[in-house]
Amino acid sequence: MLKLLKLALVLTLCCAYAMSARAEHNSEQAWLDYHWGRGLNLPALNLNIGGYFKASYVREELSPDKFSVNDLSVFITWSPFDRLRFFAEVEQHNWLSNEGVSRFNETLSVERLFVDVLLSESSTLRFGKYLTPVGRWNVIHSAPLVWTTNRPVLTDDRSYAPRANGVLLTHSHLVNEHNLDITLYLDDSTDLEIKSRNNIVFDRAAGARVNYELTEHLQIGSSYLAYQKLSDMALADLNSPDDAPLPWHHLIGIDALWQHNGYEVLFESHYHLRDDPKHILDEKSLFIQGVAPLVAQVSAVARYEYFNSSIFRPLLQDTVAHIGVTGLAWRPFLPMVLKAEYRFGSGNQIIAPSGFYLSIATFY
Amino acid sequence: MLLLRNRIILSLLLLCSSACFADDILIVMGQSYAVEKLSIKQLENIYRRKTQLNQVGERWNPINLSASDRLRAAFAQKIYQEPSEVMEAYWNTQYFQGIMPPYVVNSVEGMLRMLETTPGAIGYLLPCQLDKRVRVVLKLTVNESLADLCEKK
Repeated sequence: MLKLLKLALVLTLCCAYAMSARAEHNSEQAWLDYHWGRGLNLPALNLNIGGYFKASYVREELSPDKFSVNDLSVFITWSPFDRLRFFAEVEQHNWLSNEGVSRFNETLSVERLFVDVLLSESSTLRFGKYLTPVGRWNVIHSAPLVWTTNRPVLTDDRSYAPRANGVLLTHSHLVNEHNLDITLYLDDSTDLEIKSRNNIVFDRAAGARVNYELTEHLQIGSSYLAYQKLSDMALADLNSPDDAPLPWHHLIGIDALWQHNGYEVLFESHYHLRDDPKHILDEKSLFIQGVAPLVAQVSAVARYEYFNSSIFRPLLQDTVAHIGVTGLAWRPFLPMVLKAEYRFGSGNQIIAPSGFYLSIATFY
Repeated sequence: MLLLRNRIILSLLLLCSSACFADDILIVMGQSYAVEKLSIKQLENIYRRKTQLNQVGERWNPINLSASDRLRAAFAQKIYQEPSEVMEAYWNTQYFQGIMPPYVVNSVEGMLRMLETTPGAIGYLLPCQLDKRVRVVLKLTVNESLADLCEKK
């Protein structure tokens, strides 16, 4: 209780200082400002409160139709000082559907919670819980930003934990007047994890990512991640001692993004293996997605995915899945998107069943 | 012969439509600020909020004119090489990362006042709008005539 009071006192003092410092300067700025899709902004405090919402209707083969409110997310961003920025995202996930209402506590999760320390004009140090910087989709996965209701299989939380807990350093450098971004991170989720809903949680992890702007419209990136995950404990030999080490996983990824005048091509590929001779995991996957504007803020979307994983070997003879997604996305207003898509394929019954998907999502 | 002459005149007119109507946009900061020079890429990174701190450790405060302003459209096209509408998709992505777009003012006078009083503030105006409250750190040449914006002043 005393700790909480101390924390509240420090936060109040920071708020008061930030407010007095800012109030001197910006007589042009309104003290409270709301824009749909940009949240509620308090410039005097450098505080912003926003979030997003997603609801969907799913008609999958061999499953009953489902309507659900998938995401109700709240972000809080606060920059009390020039070099300091706090960010929090809390999400209510799948709490309401035609199957009933879930318990509030069970569906609530802390998606992100970190503080950024701006070390210099080009380097930032992050502490806390953040999106694992593997590829491009995972770090921008929110429904209003992406073009399809479904995630590509390789970005699902079946391979690696989509969130890490620990420290992350980013450095940006100009090479031939193009940005080169380097990211290094260390995870200790066993000690730091806060209320998660993910299938996979890291035990420990370390990774790196490099992204380079080849031209104004084309970026290429590469990611490496080494990790141990808590769910691998289930694989442990019952006869071995309790403190037997968890196997290490290694994931290497290559990705690219081209965007120009509303057209977009996104590519990601992963190679993933587990360093454990008893329980071999060998997984190769990729997807390529294209977007083309049609008329009146409507875009056509198509995606092909290839997923080949030895994880299916006990269940299926064929370990390869080919998945296609085709659909339309309509953005009648900048923060909002309505999507309709059909997913199909071969060998996809378990990981990505064929079906029809409709969704609406908006930032608020 | 006449046809050839007409074609040459037409070509010169087309060439002139881009070059003869080129205008300058000045990138300006408050008089007290110590930055001497910026490159276009550094400016783009500041306006994309990718570079958030300046060399002396203050936060950059990029300032924009309103979305319908022609000067803003010309500035955005020059530094992002995309129309400002396309940039809104970029700001949606940044919003998800907790990063907000540059602050918007309604007039050049509002921009001048913010540049004068806000540490780390950076903005843009036309040469005819320059006054002693600010100093120039970069000059951009755009393929568009903005002279009529000076007449409205």
